[in-house]
Amino acid sequence: MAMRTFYKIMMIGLVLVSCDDFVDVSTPKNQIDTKGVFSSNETALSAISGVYAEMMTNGGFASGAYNSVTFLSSLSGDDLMSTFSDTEIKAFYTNSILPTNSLSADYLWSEPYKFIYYANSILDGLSTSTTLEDSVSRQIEGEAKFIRAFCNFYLVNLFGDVPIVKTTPFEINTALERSPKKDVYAEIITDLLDAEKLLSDSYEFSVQRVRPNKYAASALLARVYLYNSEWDKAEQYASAVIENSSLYSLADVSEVFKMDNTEAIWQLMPPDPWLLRESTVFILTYEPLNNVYLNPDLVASFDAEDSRLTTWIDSIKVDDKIYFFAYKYTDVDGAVTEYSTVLRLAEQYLIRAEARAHQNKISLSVDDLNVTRTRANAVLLDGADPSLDQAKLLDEIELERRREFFTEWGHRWLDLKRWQSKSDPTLTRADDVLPDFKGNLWQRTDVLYPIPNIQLQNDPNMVNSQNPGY
Amino acid sequence: MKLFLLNLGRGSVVRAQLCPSATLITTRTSRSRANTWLMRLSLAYSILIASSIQLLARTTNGQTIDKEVVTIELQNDGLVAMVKKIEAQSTLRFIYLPEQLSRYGSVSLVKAKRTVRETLDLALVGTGVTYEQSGRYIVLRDRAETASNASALKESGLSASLVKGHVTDQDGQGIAGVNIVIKGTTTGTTTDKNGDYGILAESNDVLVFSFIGCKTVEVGVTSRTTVDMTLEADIATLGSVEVNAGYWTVDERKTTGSISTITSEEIGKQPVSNPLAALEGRMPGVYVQQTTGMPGGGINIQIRGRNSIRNAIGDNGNLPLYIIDGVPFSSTSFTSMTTTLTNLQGGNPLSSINPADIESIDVLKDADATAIYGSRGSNGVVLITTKRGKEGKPKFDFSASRGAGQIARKMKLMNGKQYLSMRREAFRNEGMWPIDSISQSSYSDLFAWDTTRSVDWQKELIGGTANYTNVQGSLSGGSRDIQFLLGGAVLKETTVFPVDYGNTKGSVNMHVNYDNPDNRLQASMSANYVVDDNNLPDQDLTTLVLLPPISPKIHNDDGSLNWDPSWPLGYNPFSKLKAIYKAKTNNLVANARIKYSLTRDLSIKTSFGFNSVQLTSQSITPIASMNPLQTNRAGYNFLYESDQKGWIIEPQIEYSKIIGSGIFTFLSGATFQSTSRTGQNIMAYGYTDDVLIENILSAPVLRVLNTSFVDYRYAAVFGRLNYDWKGKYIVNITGRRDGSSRFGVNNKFSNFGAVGAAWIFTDEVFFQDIKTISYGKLRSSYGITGNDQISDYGYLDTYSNSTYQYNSVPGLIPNKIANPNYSWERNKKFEAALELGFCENRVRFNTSYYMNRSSNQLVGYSLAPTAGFESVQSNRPATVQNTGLEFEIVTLNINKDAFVWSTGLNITVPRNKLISYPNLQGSSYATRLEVGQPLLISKMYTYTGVNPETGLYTFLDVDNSGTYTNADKRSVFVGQKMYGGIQNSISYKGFKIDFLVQFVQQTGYNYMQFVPTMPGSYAQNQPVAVLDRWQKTGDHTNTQKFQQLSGGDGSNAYSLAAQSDLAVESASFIRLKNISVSYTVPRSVIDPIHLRDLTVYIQAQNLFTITNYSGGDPESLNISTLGPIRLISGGIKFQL
Repeated sequence: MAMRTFYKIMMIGLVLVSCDDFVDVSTPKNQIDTKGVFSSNETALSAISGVYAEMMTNGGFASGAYNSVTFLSSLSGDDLMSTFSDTEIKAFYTNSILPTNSLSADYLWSEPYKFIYYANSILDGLSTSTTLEDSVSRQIEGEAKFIRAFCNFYLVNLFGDVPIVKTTPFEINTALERSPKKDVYAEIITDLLDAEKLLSDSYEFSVQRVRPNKYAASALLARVYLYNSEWDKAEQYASAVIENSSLYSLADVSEVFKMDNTEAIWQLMPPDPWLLRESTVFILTYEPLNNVYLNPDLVASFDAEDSRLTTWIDSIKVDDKIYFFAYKYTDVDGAVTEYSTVLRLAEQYLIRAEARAHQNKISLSVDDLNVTRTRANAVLLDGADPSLDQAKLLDEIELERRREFFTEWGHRWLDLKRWQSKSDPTLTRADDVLPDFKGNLWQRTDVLYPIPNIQLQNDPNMVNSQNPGY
Repeated sequence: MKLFLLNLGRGSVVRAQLCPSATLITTRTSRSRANTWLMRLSLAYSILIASSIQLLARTTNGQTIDKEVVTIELQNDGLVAMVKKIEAQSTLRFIYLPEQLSRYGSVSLVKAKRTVRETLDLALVGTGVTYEQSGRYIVLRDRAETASNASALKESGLSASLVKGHVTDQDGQGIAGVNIVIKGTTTGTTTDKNGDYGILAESNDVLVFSFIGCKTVEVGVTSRTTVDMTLEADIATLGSVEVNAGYWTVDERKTTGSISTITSEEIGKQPVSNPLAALEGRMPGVYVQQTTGMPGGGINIQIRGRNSIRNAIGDNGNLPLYIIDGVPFSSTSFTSMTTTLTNLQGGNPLSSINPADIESIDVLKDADATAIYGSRGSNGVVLITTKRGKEGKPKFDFSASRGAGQIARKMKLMNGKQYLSMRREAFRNEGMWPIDSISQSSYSDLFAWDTTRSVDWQKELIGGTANYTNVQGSLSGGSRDIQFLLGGAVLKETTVFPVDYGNTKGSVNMHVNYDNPDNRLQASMSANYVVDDNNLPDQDLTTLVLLPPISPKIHNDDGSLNWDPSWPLGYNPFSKLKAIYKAKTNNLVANARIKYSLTRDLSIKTSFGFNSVQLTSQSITPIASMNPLQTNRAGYNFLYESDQKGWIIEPQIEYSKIIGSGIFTFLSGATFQSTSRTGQNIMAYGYTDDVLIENILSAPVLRVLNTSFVDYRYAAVFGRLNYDWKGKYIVNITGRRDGSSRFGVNNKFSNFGAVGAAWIFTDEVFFQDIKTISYGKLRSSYGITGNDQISDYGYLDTYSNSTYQYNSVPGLIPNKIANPNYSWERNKKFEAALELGFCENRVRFNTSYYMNRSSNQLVGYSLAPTAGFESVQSNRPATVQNTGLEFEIVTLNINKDAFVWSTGLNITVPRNKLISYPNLQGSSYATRLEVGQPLLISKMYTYTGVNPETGLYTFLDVDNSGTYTNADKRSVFVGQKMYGGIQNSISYKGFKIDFLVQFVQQTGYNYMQFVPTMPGSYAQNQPVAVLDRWQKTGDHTNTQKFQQLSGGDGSNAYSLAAQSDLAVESASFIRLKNISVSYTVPRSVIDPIHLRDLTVYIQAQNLFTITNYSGGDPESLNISTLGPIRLISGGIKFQL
């Protein structure tokens, strides 16, 4: 009772000095209220720009730097030899990643989910906004869905069954279960189909090709259908891109990674010339200590005249030993002339070649395959060769994909995992190829990276859902 | 001057001052802000209780009754009233018996200006009372009585004559407030501020001089009119000090709450640079841990256990509230750079305070003491009071010391031979030895390096000697009304690294106090300014001590760094010395107070505080630190600037009144506090030359990486009701209503409060005959405090700029996951304590039991990465309970013939438990916490030995699943089970030895937690402990076989072992934390050279440690950070 009276006296004092107003602080100068962000075209477009800027800033999964899919997944496959002593990087090379590996946890797992959150937050913001111009609103919605699909694509490929995040409330998102791979792909396809309808068919919203348009959605759809063995749809969407010749045509080998080239469908631009990117990571200037160099086996797979060998690969000689390195990106300092190329036309030809091969459209497939070979001045495949059956053609496609996409976006690693083993249909192509290269370090369960501990620890519905083998 | 209440015999209370030369007990002599309150209170008490006779001896400066003029008007007033009126207007003081004066009726006098003599002559006409002046005393006598009955006269004391005298301490300084009583009577007086007194006494009376902290002396008057006295310090009267409770001060006897104190004397014995380090091992319930030996580095302080489940560097809900001279100080470090997080273990805000400027540190622990701080008090309150001047002749104090330090404890690591044999054995175990010539190039340690080398990397990298220099000086003094102190100090400490790095702290402080109770106005102002200049390598080199002992040479023959390409980490470890971290902190804490007494009972006061902390830190990586083989080398410099300014205004009103036989005190006030902080991280990159690298404008690339703006506003009203009945029963009620800007619209305000009570049972009549127990108090408290230690704006849903633009469009990204609904965490605290004194307080024993329950835990709730952000500010239904027992025993073992030995022991037994957490399994804490277990657990696999067949670690597979998952983990306790310290203080004449032994019973992570790779792996040294490894089938051991392949069975087993209870071991230790030896030169020697004090001393910190811990230092418990330093210093101090 005494306390209550006491408080009453103090309450009166409180009213007198009007603490109420005193403890109200305004929004800090470096922050904008979320509602405000989606009230004008400019700030709403800034919100989507923020996602790409962040993708490139932190050296993470989409950046092309050390913690990117490009680098780490290339280590897991057979593109690269490594001399890294750093145990966490080395683990990708030796296919012995621990669930505690911070690179996998922070960059390959958490970062894509962060960008998915950003996308979901933008979608939330758009849904309550009434002041945006319709075309802007459509473009932003399309980009947000594209980003969500893009992130989910790498998550499902690196980790297998993964949680699907479609909303922003943390109570839901921190207690998700893993969804079967097919559900994740269904989600990706839904998002991409939406994005394809919503996005502009030109690059009107960016100065160059650094924001996805309708064709970026089609290109990614073609890849997704290919990965799901939906050959006709893969062919259909690849064709949609290839046929838009006014926007897209193959560039010279030396131009493929230049900014805004005709082959690029979607590029990520480094927002700062000093940020780490592919060139910093792959170019060797001295003996490759704590570094990587190309697998000599990959280098040997090229025809001698192949201009990709001479243009995209360089070498350094140390103590009579030659180390080859990827030289697709050549900018090391000064002005930026190259952008990190995520989607390019060459892939669409090879997607269509593979999809057509599976549909037994042999000669059409060979035509597509020869497009990239022609451009590279490599030995062409003879479509009229009667001994060229589907299996042989697929081998050629595998070879061509390896030569075209080495050290790009983990293509080789993803390919090895999605293709069936030639000897045992329960195994993957990786089980054929990698034991020769990695020795007894290779285990069949290594096709999936471990779900990071931080997820298992903080998500009560995933506590015991680690991938097999970890 | 310190005032407090001393309970004398049958309840008469007089003012007293602590004996200035008391040694063991704390000799704080600062003038506290509340002392006039106490003074008035004690005055009231005197009037109330000392009813038989009243001899008020007040201060004067000696004027005669003919010169002093007073304006008196009397209207049928008693003579006592007249006397008081004269006293109020003059410096003269009357000595009389009130009952006898009251016999004479009333007198009237027309208002006029008269001398005192004129006034007395007029007023006393016809009363039969005569007066007699003696110095500043006027003795009133009853003429009639004098003439009649001699024996009655004697009884009444009026046949007595005036005895005057001067009371001094051993140093000859007058002591104010000494109590002088005529033996066998209740007649007494006290000395004035000069130590002078006057009393009416018979020639055969015996005077009893008593003073807290001094020995009581009895002396016969023996017909003398002047009795001078020198009092000696008495160590037996322990603990009678006044403690700072924040908004008021209170005699330790009368506290209802739990407060521990250390003073400048104890701080001064320890060569430490952070004041918190001075608390280590000295306070029950307060665990202080130096997490690194880096100057300016991290120090953890935990008061009565971990209340919050949030305990990370940068997001810690367990930090106490720091208040410096009434001004709240940041609980978190000012820097936010990654460098500081790893290098300095997060740092500590109090490293920008100089210990030399501190007068005392009071730690408030229970609800009664902390509830007045409301939402900020749940983890305890650390009150820091800076030094202030004392009344007396100006004096100059100076001290200087220098010392040298080394790491306190090294790990036992393998030498070159052991390392090589380990590596080779690892290959042999895998059937790979001998290694074919093609593969040899991959193993440079075995084939490229000079295998005859054996480098002790601990010696090379952290084996140097740190220097310590501490110089301080102050000028202080003052009159009765105004006291001042001006001080300055410089503290410099270097590091144990091979290059001269260090931390320099310069400080100036001033304090001015105006205090004249007669004028009703009091004012004080203090300012403390510290410039801290920290200059350290960018990386704690302790992280590199596991380099192989056969690593390449550091320097080439020409002295340049050896950039052998095969360095295991890719660089020469000494190159890291060229990368530096520089931090400059300017810290100003200023405070002003004004108090005005409206009436005798009512006063108002306001305190104003201001704090400004400016920090500039640079993390510089010059080209010189980079491998010359690397192309495109460019230097970079990360700059962090922060500017924090805060102010606080606290108006208060105080009221005290005698109600019944007790004193009622009421205090009410309000707090308005505002803190704003701005900061920016800037990256300067692309330097092609190291010369200009500190100038960010010379950088080719300059980027503002982020900016921060934080406004924190806090408002509260608070109150305190205190009732002190006869000095025996004390009830204290405190409460506070807080509003904080850190909460969303609907949750900004909350109430907190506490009740405390104390019973001094030895003052009960029935206890008077029990002589063995000289003092006994029971006290208890219960209350609710809170915690608003969360980040700002957690409720705001906002976007902010991304670091870079994209395609010329500025980026915007979500800031965080906002939660508008979180509310205040509540901490319910209960305490019961018993305080006892035996044998005239030669033995003091205190024990307390506490039980705190912290619920509605406000945490940065860890989210799964799928949520997009790492955490969200949110309340969790967890209830954490901290219980504990604290013991404190202080004994005076010997006090004889100038030999004094006293001992203090404190022990704390803390227990921590998560008592409930509904749906814990459904939360992100499922894998970290367990209901019924302490928060201090780690979920780990259960190690079941090394398989004698395979030589690999094995673990308990609880669910028999064949794999090791979270389901196989169990809770393992990692933390303190008991801690404390024993302090001894021995003095003989001028010699004095103090030493503190700290003991901690605990478990901690051993090297397995920190050594990332298994024994035998590439290029990593190991502790010699692993030599006890499995070697052949049938071996029984606890270290698995050496292996080097990563990704194999060996490394899998090793990584499981690092997550098993094998990685936790006993880390208990006993450490000679501090020793101080001093010699004070006798006065006879220094008097001729006009020194007032001259002392030489040697001090040491962390002198030796007893522990079985296999890792590095058992205090910092981390082998990759520098442990606390063992430091020995010598110095001199003197007073002019």
